[in-house]
Amino acid sequence: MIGGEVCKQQLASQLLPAEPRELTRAEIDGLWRIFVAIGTMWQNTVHDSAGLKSSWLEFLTSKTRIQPSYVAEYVNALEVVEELIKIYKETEAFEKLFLDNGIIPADSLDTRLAHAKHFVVDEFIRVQIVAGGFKNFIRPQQNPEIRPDNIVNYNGFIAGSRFNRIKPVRPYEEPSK
Amino acid sequence: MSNDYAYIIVGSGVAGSTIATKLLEKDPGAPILMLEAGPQIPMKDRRYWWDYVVNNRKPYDQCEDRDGDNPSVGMTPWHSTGSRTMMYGGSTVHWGGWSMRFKPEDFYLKSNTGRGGDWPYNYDTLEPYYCRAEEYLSVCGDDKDSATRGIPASAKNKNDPWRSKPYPLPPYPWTESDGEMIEAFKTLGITPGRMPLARYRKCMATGTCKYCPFGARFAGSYILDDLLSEPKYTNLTFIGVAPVTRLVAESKSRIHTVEYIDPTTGETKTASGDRIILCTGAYEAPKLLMLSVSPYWENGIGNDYDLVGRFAISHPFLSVAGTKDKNEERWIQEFDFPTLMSRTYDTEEYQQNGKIFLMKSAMFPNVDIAKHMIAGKDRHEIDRIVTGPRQVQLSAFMEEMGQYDNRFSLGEGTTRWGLPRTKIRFAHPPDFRKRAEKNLDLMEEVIRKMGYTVDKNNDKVIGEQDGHHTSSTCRMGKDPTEGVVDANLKVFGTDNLYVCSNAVHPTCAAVNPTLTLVAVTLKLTDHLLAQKP
Repeated sequence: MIGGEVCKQQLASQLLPAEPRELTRAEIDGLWRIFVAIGTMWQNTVHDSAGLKSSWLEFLTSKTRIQPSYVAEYVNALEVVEELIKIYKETEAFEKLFLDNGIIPADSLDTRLAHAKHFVVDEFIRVQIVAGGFKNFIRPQQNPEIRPDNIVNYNGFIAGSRFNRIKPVRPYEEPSK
Repeated sequence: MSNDYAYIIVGSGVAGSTIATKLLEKDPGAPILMLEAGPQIPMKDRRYWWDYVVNNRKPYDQCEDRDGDNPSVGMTPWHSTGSRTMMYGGSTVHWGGWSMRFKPEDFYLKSNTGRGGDWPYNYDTLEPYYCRAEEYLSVCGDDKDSATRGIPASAKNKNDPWRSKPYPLPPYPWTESDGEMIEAFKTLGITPGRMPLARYRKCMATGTCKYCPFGARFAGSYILDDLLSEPKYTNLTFIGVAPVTRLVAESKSRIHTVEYIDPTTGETKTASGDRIILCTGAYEAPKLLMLSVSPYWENGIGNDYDLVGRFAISHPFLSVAGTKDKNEERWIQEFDFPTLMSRTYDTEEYQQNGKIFLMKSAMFPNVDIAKHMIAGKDRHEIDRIVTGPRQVQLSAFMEEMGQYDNRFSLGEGTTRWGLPRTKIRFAHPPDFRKRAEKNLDLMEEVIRKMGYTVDKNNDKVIGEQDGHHTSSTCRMGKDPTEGVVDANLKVFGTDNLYVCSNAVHPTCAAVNPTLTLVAVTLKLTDHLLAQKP
């Protein structure tokens, strides 16, 4: 398993208990760094993560202002990432955290590193997908530009009203006779 | 004896909430009691929605049946978990919104095939109520798909039966990945159609319909929210987590009182009403009638002919999958529901074999990109997966025909809701498999025409029997030797007890029953309002 003492520290597997509260600016910035690193790692270059920030902030607010509160998980993840960056430097730290973290089995949540991966990184990945990023995975590489008629709809992606000018999906076009 | 309420409605799903709505629209001061066994789950809640999106955990998972709630004791195992939700608003909360009408031949199944039941009225009687139901549910569909009155849909290659009013809203589009199946349909003489779907205009196609962040699909819970917040409806009372355990007969024909568990004290309480309407679904209605034994009704209310709970049906689910080596177009399923369907094999001609309603599965083609990212696959590996083998699936509901021995009855003990467990005795008839395989062959032809490989051992599947569309357990009939309720849904032998749920449908056609249930419910409300002194 990657990391040092912080990462390897043992924890119970369930969500860490915490009272709901507003995150500090520093905490939000630290978590945003993780979210952006996800976009960078998987080359989310068509939609820059900045375009997803409002969705991500809404997600973060809903997770921290009411129970069950994720505040303790977010604080834990920030400390885990801080240690990883100290050990590996930023780029390699995130690469290891996302791709090569050595958490085996993946569903074992008995360390601070496993908590950070499961409760924070994995959920941020889902948010990256549903908030509209990563369309270029399923758009032909030779035609990667975003156009209203080239939209792709993931579960959760809010494309706008279907009565809008922008179609929420790639529609079928009848072959011309 | 004076009553506490004009109406007692047991159950708060689509039937119960619709009846309350229509009664109160006509008489805002009507004293109505609604009793619901399940809890209230907040809807349109952003936290719940995000939790569902990132963890695939529906906020109402706790309201579904658990293993052991409904023991299956027949030759064919019957699975109930996931089929319904016991909660404020009922099962419409997890409903997909598919809104097809039954066809004229569905009202004459027994006459046409010698199996199942006939309705005590025909399609033409229900047609105006279908129009109202479509408006009420906000159904989006394609008018071009409907037949002309007097001409069977199949004669003109139309999918839907005749209609006297257009769909309230235009259909959802077919998606690019539907294209190859549309072309195969056309080559094989199968008429492609657009799935009629209940969605309000505010639908933003998030693909999270099982818990919509905007409330863009009808759910009984939204209707109840509106009713309970309307200041005019001062005499409407709703009590949740209050299972009804028995109906009490004042005489043979008058059912006067309901007994329910008070959620605050856990004690049995009673309420009396001029009319009692059981909107408790096809599982609970027969059991409540069976539980209500008295000197007037020794075998339970409405059960003098031992028909309560019998003729249970649901839809066998058929599917044929196929695989291609490459997904060069990088197709994924972009809606969370199918938009391509066909009713070509859902006609009178196929009734004897068991009609099928075809739909392109909304599960394929698909790649859960986030899952691969979470598993630590890098960009290039995921690209290979996205463009790798592609799967497609054609699915179908097959019509089931009611059999006398297939019965829902009282099981031992109670569920966590305080309701008796359901003992389910069900068996397919001996020729079922042969008929289902014949239908699978028709479906396989489509997949092969699309150029996909079909593994005969694994890709052609007759699904396990489940309870999603359970119907017919208190079916309508012309008289008490044929059914439990009459054409107005009144229990035979009573003056004031009604059943309104899929339980009353004598057939379940080959399509989802919810639109038909709403049509039947609206017909009942007209009857109730006409009966009002």
